[in-house]
Amino acid sequence: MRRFRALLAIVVSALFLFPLYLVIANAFKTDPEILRSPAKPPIGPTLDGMSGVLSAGDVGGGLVNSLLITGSTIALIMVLSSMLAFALHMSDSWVSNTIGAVILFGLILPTPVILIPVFRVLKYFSLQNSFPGLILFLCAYYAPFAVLVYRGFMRSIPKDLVEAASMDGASLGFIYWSVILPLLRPATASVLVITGVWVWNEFLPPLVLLGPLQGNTVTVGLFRSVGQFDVNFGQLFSYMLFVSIPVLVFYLALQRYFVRGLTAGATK
Amino acid sequence: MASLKLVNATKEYVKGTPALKEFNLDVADGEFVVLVGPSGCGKSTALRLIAGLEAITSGDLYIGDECMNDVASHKRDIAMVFQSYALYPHMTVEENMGFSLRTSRVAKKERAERVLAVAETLGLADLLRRKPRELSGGQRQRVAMGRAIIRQPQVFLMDEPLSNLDAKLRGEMREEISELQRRLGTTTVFVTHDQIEAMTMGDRVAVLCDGVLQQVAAPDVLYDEPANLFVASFIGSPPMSILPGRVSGEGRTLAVGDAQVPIATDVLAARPGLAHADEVLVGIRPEHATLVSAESTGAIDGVVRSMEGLGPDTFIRVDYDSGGHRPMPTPTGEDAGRHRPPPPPTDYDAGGHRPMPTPTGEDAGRPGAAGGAISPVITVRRSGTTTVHAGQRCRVGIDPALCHFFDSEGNAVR
Repeated sequence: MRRFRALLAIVVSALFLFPLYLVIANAFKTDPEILRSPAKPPIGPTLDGMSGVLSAGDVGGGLVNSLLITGSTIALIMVLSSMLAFALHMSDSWVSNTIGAVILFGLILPTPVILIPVFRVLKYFSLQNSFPGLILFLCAYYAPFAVLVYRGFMRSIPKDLVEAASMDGASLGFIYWSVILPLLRPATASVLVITGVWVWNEFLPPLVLLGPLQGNTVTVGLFRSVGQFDVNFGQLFSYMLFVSIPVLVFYLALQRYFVRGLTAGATK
Repeated sequence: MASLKLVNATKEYVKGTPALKEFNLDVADGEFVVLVGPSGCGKSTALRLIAGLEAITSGDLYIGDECMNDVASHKRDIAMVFQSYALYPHMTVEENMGFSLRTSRVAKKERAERVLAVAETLGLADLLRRKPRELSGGQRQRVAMGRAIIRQPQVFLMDEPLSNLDAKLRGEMREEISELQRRLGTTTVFVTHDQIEAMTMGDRVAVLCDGVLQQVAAPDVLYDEPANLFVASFIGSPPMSILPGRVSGEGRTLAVGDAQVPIATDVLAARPGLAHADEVLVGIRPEHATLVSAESTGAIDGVVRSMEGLGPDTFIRVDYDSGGHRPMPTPTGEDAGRHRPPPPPTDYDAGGHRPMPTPTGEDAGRPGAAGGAISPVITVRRSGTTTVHAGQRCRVGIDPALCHFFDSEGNAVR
């Protein structure tokens, strides 16, 4: 049984790691080599693809745009979702329970279904084709998940702490800021990593909501770098590797808290 | 410092089912009052009402002369020590203790000075940079006390602050808290389910059951003159034995078990209610029951069921014949909670002695045992060790002057 489990783990890991291997291997190969045998490791690696990506003008812009959008979105999600989860945690009325249920409903909505209505709403507020419009949408779209994680984690924070702080004269805002938020660090790490990766990888919302005039995000840039008649696979894979690095660094920086944040609240 | 007064305070979490019913308590300035009772009796609810963590459904709360019903908890000038201590885990001892000063915008320098002064009083001066997880249970408890003291409040509230400590530490902390309270002279309300804490710490003890205040009195008064069956059974360890009995001849004779015990004139004079009593419940403290010789008159026949030697004392539990006395009906309806006897004790005292078994087997069928009011055995205390052994026939002598009598409502017959 143990051997079977080990084998299964290896197979599943291979399934997940193989695309990553393809990206890394092909980023350092020439186009003919890639086309001949995509799975072959780079023997005599070349940096042509990398230098091609770095010399192309729009890559830096795409990276800055993605960093801006992702950073703003996850910062807003962190603050707003933890505040909302705190409010829901502190109240046990039917109103808060209903709000909690409605928020969970947001988890099951697929992006393509709501994109056109969202575009119309943003247009109503003159936020279409703008960074704030896209950031607001992404916040709203990923907040339910963050609220879910925060609420689960908050169950492990005793209400006594809030009551003690309130008796000590702290306002709710002060309690949130100086007592609750520091204790939510593991949950915050999970929320930042997961929503960060999701927002970084978002393709359809930036393509539709940002429009063509505001510049690319890394995903849209990747899509647009594929020409109608010509594809430079070496550059494409280098681009992929290049835009994956920030996510990887981000994850490694927060991974210490990551699992704890996800599993807290599941058991007492 | 200030006095504290609850007037007809009622709390209903669910409409129609009060967790606390018309609770009246008057705590004098500087007094140490302990609220005691079994789980779910409303003692913590009462404390939370005083703290302002729960709103009073009806009735009034006064601190000093001011009605506090609608005053926010942090404006009541009270401090509370929680059962869990509620220390902020990400803050150091110093930050924990200085938290309330920070919220009241006390300057950093003054804050540090005051924290240090309190820490020195509590022996925490060397631990100020530590986080709560790096402290022992007793140290955490002291930090929680320090956090309460530093505000110099008018009233201290303590919600079972010793329940997470081991027996030895609990004993030490009992003394420390009592000593600290005496030194500071701060009005204190202390909640516990441990009667040892209640009896040793409080100037007065308030006993609660099912949200109803049963009696408020000094510990020795509670023990010697319980107002009703609940208080009689709850206070004392091992608990008082309750036997069905009958008073006849205008209070001249008490029939209990198979014994006919004469009641002396002075006893009758002290408890004139006995002259009009008929069926009663007779309460006998273990130290007031004695094993007497087979020839003694006015004693109850029985068989030794078991013994527990505690070193200085041995508690002998004797199965007795109820003598055909019918058990009292268990109070129902509104009064059901009022004089219900307490649940079987979970432990005798902080020493961790074994609990009394609940009636099982043949005891379960004994008259009265099912109702819970009547003891299945008489507990007799004997000093030192004893040669008595289980299964031995014996006679238990009782003195009506030292017995407690309760009527069918569970009220003390006086």
